[in-house]
Amino acid sequence: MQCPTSKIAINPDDTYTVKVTYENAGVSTSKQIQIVALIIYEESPLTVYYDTTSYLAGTMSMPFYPTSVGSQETITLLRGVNKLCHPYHPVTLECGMHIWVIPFDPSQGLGVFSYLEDGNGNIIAVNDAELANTLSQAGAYAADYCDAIIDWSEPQC
Amino acid sequence: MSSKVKMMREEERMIWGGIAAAASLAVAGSLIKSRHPTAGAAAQASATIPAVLAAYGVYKLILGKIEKEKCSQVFLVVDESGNPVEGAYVTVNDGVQTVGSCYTDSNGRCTVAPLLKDKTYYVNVSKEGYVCEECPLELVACTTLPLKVVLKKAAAQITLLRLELSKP
Repeated sequence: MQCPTSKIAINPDDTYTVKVTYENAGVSTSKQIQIVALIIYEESPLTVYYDTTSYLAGTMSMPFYPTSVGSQETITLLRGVNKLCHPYHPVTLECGMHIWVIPFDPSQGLGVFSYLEDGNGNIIAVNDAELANTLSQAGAYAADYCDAIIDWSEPQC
Repeated sequence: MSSKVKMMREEERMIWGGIAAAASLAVAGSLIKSRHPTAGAAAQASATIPAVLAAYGVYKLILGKIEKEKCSQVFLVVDESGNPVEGAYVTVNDGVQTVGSCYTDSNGRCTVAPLLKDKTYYVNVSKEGYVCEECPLELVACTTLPLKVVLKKAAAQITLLRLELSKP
């Protein structure tokens, strides 16, 4: 996968946009799919906490039907937001982004997980337990990652 | 002993012999209970065993309907690491048509029944994101232990080409 050649810095309350270009190599156009992009830190998804629940920092697409087999398409994911801060001291992490393409079929419970969004419809966080469950249940049509493309600045609260 | 009494005892032996034979056949599942007792039936009973049985209304032998023994087949579907695969769809085909199917539970197990014992079937297992390379599996019904089927993760059917990251 071709990754960004320069890093971007994400600061608290920044929004960021992710575009993913894919080629359909065999998925039926009658089956909905979705793309999930998670920020990873040292090879682990970045976990954040709201109240007592842990979430993953990232964003995703709305469910959609893939383009015809053999064709390419660029999808803009829902806009992600960084609302993190560290309770003790400022932290700067060098982060990458992990991408999954997974089936979406609510009738079979595939690809169903919840997330937090702000008042503008931007994605704040993804439910990590539900996402892990759906990934194990549904498998993935594709998975890849881009390493060290984000400077994640997390200031003290 | 008069010849009349002797004849009746021989007839009784035939009747009870016939019932005993019927009982042994019933174990094989080839008898259907049938009650047709009539007031004059006993009097009209002849010396032939089927007629006697029918007259006494005990059992009626349905010839030509002897069925093979049936059984239940348990399946165990796992991934390459040996972990159970839930929600896999198992179908059993007799070479002509699908005769049974089931979805695996959280333990990777499900059961298809009834199948005919010792008959050969063909098994397919499917689940989104997985492939069954050994399918169709030949099955001689029914195995004592669950029939284990290993699914492999499907090769990526979508290729990721490019990621762009930006701030508005």
